Amino acid sequence: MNIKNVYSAESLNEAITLLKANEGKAKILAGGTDLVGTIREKIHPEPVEDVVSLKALDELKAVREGDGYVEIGAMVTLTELQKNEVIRNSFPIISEAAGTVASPQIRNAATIGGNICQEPRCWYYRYQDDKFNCLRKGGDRCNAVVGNNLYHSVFGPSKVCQTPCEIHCPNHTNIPGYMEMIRKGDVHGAAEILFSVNPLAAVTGRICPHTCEQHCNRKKYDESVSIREVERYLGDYILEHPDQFFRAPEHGTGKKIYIIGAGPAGLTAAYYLRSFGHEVTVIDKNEHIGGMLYYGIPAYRLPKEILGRIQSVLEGMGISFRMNVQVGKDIEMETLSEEADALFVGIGAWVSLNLNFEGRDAKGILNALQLLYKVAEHEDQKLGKEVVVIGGGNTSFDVCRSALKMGAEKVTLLSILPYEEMPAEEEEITAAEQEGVVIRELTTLKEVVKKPDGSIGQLIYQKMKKRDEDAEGLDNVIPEEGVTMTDTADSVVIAIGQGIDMQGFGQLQEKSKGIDLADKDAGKTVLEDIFAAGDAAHGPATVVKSIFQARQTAAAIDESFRSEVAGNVSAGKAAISFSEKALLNSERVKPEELPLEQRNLYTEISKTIDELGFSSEAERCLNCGCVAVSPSDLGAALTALDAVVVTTEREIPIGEFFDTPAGGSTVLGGGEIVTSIRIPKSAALSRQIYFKHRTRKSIDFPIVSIAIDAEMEGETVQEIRIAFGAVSPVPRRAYEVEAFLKGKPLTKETALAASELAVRDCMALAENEYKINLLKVLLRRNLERL
Amino acid sequence: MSKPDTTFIQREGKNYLGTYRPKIDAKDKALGKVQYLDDITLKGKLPGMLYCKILNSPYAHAKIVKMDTSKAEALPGVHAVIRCDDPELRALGRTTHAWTDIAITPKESDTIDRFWDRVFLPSRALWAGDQMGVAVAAETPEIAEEAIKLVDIKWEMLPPVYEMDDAKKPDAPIVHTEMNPNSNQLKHGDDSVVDDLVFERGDIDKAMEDADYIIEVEKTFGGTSTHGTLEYRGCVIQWGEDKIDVWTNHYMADQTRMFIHDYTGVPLNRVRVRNGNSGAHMGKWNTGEDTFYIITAYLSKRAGRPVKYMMNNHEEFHETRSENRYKIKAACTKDGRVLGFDAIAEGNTGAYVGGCDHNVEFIVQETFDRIYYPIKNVRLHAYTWFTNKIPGGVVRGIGNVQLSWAFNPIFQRLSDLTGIDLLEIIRINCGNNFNQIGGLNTSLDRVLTEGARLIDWDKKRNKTPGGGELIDGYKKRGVGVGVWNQWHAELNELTRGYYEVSIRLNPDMSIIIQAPTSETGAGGNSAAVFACAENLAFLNTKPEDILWTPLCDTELTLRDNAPTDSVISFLYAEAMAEAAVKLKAEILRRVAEYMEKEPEELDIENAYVFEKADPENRIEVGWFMLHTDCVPIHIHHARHNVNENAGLPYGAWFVEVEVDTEIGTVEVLDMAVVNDVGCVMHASGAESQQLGGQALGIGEILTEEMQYDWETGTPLNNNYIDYKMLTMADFPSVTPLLIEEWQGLGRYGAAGIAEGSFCGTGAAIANAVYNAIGVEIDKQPITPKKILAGLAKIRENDRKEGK
Amino acid sequence: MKKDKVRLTVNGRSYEFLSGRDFEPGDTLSKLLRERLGLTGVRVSCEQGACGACTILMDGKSVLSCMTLVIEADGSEILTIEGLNGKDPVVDAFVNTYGPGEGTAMQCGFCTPGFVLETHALLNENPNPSDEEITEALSGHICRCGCYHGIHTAVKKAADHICSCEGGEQNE
Repeated sequence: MNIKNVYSAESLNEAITLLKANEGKAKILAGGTDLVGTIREKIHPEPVEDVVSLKALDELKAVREGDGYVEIGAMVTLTELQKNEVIRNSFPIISEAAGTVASPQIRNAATIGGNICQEPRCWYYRYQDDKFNCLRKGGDRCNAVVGNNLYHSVFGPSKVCQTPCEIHCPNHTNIPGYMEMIRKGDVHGAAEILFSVNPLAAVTGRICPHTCEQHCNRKKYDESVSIREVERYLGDYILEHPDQFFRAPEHGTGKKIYIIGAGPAGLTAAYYLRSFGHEVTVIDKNEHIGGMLYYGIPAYRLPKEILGRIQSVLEGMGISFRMNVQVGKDIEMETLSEEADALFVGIGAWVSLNLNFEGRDAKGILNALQLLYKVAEHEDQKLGKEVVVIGGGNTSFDVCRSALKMGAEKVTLLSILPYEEMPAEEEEITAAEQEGVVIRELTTLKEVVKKPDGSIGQLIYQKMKKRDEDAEGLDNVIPEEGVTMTDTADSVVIAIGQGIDMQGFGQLQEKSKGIDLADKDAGKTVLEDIFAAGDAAHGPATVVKSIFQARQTAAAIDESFRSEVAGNVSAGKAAISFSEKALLNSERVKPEELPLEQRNLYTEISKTIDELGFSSEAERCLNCGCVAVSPSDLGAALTALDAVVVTTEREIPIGEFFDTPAGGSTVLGGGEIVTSIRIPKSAALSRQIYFKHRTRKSIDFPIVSIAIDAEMEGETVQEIRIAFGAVSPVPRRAYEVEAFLKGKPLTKETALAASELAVRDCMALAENEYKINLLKVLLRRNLERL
Repeated sequence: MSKPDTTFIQREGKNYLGTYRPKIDAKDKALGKVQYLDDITLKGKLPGMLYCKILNSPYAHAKIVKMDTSKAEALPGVHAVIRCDDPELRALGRTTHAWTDIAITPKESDTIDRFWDRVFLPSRALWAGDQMGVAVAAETPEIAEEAIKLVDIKWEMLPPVYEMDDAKKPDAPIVHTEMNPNSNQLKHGDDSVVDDLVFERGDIDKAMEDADYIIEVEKTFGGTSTHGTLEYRGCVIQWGEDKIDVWTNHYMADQTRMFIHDYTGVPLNRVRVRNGNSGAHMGKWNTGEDTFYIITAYLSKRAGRPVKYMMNNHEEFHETRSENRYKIKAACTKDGRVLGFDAIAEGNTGAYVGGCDHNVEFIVQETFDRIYYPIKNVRLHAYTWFTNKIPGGVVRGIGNVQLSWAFNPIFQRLSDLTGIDLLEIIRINCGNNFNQIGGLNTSLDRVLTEGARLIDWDKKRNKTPGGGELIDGYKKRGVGVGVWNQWHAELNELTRGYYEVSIRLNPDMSIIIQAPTSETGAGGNSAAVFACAENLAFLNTKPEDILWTPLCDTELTLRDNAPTDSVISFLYAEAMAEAAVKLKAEILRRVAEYMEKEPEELDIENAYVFEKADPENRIEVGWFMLHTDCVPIHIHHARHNVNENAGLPYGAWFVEVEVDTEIGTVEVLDMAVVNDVGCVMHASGAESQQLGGQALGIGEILTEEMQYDWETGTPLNNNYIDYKMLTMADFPSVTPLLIEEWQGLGRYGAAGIAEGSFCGTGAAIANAVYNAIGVEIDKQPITPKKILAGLAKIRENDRKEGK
Repeated sequence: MKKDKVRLTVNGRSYEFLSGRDFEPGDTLSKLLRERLGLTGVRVSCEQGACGACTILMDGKSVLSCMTLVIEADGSEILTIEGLNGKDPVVDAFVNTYGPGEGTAMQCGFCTPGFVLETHALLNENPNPSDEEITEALSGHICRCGCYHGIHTAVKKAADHICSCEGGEQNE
């Protein structure tokens, strides 16, 4: 094993400094029976460089009797626990539990501190060379949930860290969080989780490119969860209950803020800043709010009524709108800046990027936004029968599909990139092809031969090819020498992206690009009290990115409003759940769509999924957590004794000590060392049992273990504490069962009823249903032994 | 309860053979003096030695499309890298790792070509762990492992197939496209086989008509257990200028030499292979040679230094017991007779052929002659399928363990139907094609009777399955039996051809013998020493006077003999008996010359040569040697077995189990193992096999099970914590009983005991579970889930019948 | 402080090992004993603490040398199988277990040193162990040849022998 340094700590402080000096790569060596195995098998992605042995710290090896408690040093070996008189007398359950661990030689070296900090024994987690790199080690997913879960949790998974869908949502929406609320039937609670980070869910529910779905783990089994459709349902729900969401603030702050630009960034900033009591006015050069949402995206994808409703609910909160006012023309930015306490600039990216080629000036060549603007304003735009669109992103497909709905008979899309590298959403590409759009990959427009009257005559295309088969991207595409094709068209639309029009905002400009941000995260511009977000500040991107940027910038504007970036839910212990139906193969819900022939520019093609589709889709979410169990025998026993773990930094009740963070199994921070375990003597009741069920009578880890600490008065249970090991991600106190048993005579019937209560919340995975029966039977038998 | 006295009494009184005495190497082993491969080839002893690491495929079915080994080659400490597209390696062509039945078959002579399914470092991976793609030799194991990780591979994933029923579908992915592009089925033994009918005897269709009952079973065993030995496979090879030196723990140096000779072209006399003790065998060497030998050899040639290859604990899960499924219809009569078997035998051999195909063809046919000979009418269809699972190899008791699991329940059902006790049913239907044909086989009868007595069958056997009373409210007990024939008797070892021994009498009357075999624990070495002493009584030789040398060396020692099934014990005993006669004749010849007599006039007793006519005229052999030329007398003797059938003896396994009917666990409370071996070579050693074998026998049924991740085809518990082998705490009380009822051929007439020491264990436990709770388990292992499912089904049927 | 010097007594002889010269920081005790001192009676198999083959005695207690870093053994007294001779009562008992029904205490011999040393560790602490105590003490060792009966019998023989030598009362 190539470990760089092995230290023998002479003092706790020295150990702490050594651990902190190389955090993540320095590990504690107590007994070594777990650590040496993990290093030799290279189960973690990064190698362990420093090992800090605590073997020389004698003060951690004592068993001390205080008044009313017994304190066991973290380095006390399990063999010592078996034999120590103090322990055997007051806490036989600890001696019993220690005696069931592995084998005598392991117990000679293994320590109580090491036992409660040991890593999970799940065979995916422990596989040599980190082949599976599972969720519990910071990877993508738990392979056991739908894999081989013979020895795994029967009480559902436990949250480890952000899941792939959360990570790949630019707005870090807590998707598993609201899916769980839906499964619990709390639609309002789910809407609140989503609304807390996204006031425009009705918009993103329709047009977001849903990168979350591309990374949904379910994709590896059947189909990813249809997250966007679920968010659309919640978005509509929010707009239908504005009073519960778009609430006017109780009191004003007296601050006045101008929002320039009513696009997704502006509207988001407006909502947050208003919700904190500021006086908010939105100024926009156009007639209608929404920016690109109104003028860039056709109504069949995003109906204009939705933007209308958003405006009314925002006005309902006290936000005022001044439309048809162009900053830099009708009013200067400076004057606005003087009138307000802060400015938020969200002017988007309205300049269509140009493409020059010979014959660019022919009549009938226009850019995407010109066309879509006219479509939005219901103005007529003669395109003729044959339209050629240049692009490959979502906007270019909006143009193509709109052109067909405006009477074009042959619409061709030229993409310089290969088919699979086109940035547009899959659904948009497939819908376009269904509606008749022809896609020519690896093709660009080289020249337009004009007719005498200046209109388009003949188009000359240049065939492209990839330089390196395996590489991707624009710079990997080169012309295929001498291979050109010809075509005819009535009009050509260029849709190769947007640029930013800084007219009127000169002082904010950063060289030739958009707004110059002094602090990117806070969205602070170079000028005092002027903030910016969205495409203009961070470059053209998606709507949901603008929402995230606007939310962060609103927070910066209002110091008091620290919006946690929802979604980085604190890891672990939050026992989460998923539906048993998630374990069955199923197809994702498909929204109803207008048949091809009925599709037109101004009616929304797809409908929001119904209530049944909404809840069954939430059932498909696996709520990616870790289903490995805590194998610690001492953990279960100490949990039944309400012990306290004393570390170099704090005292932690045992109930809060265990956790399921990535790469660990406790709440301990880097460099934090367990020094001792303190057990209140009051916890030592008269009847203590530790029962461990495993395949062999030695070496094996528990399949199910039960710790009982009880005080009997004759047949009646006066007081009882019960904990289970190896059945859930952390040792599990059976509080309900304890409450049920207290004061009752312990007859066969009560023991049976108690055992049924204990497994009431159990949920079996494919392979481990037998563990539920095992837990029930063993609990009943051990209660009967009391 | 104290154990009944089962002290073994020999049929023919002998001084050393067949007695209770220590193993000759007990002290060396207890003091750790015995050396295994890793001990002999420590880096200190072979300076400059490099370490080989071969890529284990991470995928169950995938092809290497592109491979860049430049980073690996550049890593400091790496001395040689061999790729799958290496011309020299590719030129070697195909090889096999199939069971060779000890025959040393040079590549040129026609071996079973249908088993030639391997190449060295293939570019296609056929199971998740397949050794393929690339191999490196580096200065330390860590550097070698690092180098393998630096090889940049572009894989093309291929669809995997794991189960037989999927592999046989027309649209199934084909595992061995090079052998048969349209089917996963392995070709049959001989090409004349039509629609998979491999064997027929009598008229099974008529038997079915005449039958009062037709019993149908479908039983599966295998694919989930493995050898689990503590020492792992390995070798060190130094390919010098014109000589190859090999150290290995392979159990037959001579076979390894032939394999290396075949694929290096170096003449046999310049391929020197040394093996010695190996940390248990359990069948893993029966499948001939592993490809790592040749890969290591060529790495050594390229690097110009000795290269060591050792599997680690994960790689040792290299083969499982072959997975075999038997669907058997049995035509039976009211008076407990089985008229015929109509059997379909299938094998899931996994990625490569090992021992699986033998368990559906010729071992099944052997069974119809060796134990079910009284059953006249038999028909056997056989299929073997390739899949992407760990290859099915040879594990101790190959085929026999699976077949006893499959056929035993038929007799139990017949007993249920007819009311005749199971032991009686077995007595009626079992026997071999030689002993007491048509009558009651005395060997079988005796092992059944003695075993029934030891386990207290009459008292403890529930009259009706599951009929026992409930103990503590949830436990039920039952008693079961499994029978099988012993094998590896004289006739079965013909394929070994000649094997040789030597006796060297030193002037001080101390003796050195060569009876070379790799000592895997079966104790053939002890038997050879005892047999030598037994047959040198005329020199008063005692076992302590004899030295046995453990190391086999194809350059310095005689040809070693593969220690399968402790068969070495009696092969060398037979050889020693004949060699002793030669030694006596040679002593007489030399002394006669000295005494100026004719040899026939002399004889030897109590280490004295004396004149028969005048016994006083005598010379002590030791004195003679010391005072004449002081030269040791050396005898070499080679023999091969007698090609004659003497039938076979039998073994019986009796088990008492306790089943927890609430959580489905099974515990073996007591066990009796009775084996008739014709002639016991070493009572302590034989009983140690009867006892020790149950560790694997019971483990395979109750605790050991390979677990897979089916999404990636990865074996999940290929390590010694999660693959659960019995410890002392799990080992039940077992009573061994040795019997000499049957009489084999040769001076002693013995049969093997070690390999078959648990052939009936699985069948007996299953039978005992059935007797305890009335649940028949079809697929090994017996797990709590299957027990509870069986009990639930019974409750369901009872409910339906209104019980 | 960084440990780069380790003092050990192995089978009665004392040694001083230097990190970098005699061992690497990550080396286990089993590697040092086998490769540096040539004590090949220390057997390494599972490398996960689950087979007991690498068992040695450290200050009289049984320890898994393949799971112990060299550093951890500083200042301790190590006994490997090479520290025992033929007259050792435990070795003698293992050799001379061959009676009817007992089988033998070893077959292939790979795991035997581990069992012998574990028996010493047991008898050091509990010279007159019950059957259950013997089984419990040796339950961390795997013998794939399955010689558990023979080994158990050998341990009882060794215990009787040690008790009778020290005049302890006979163990019925």
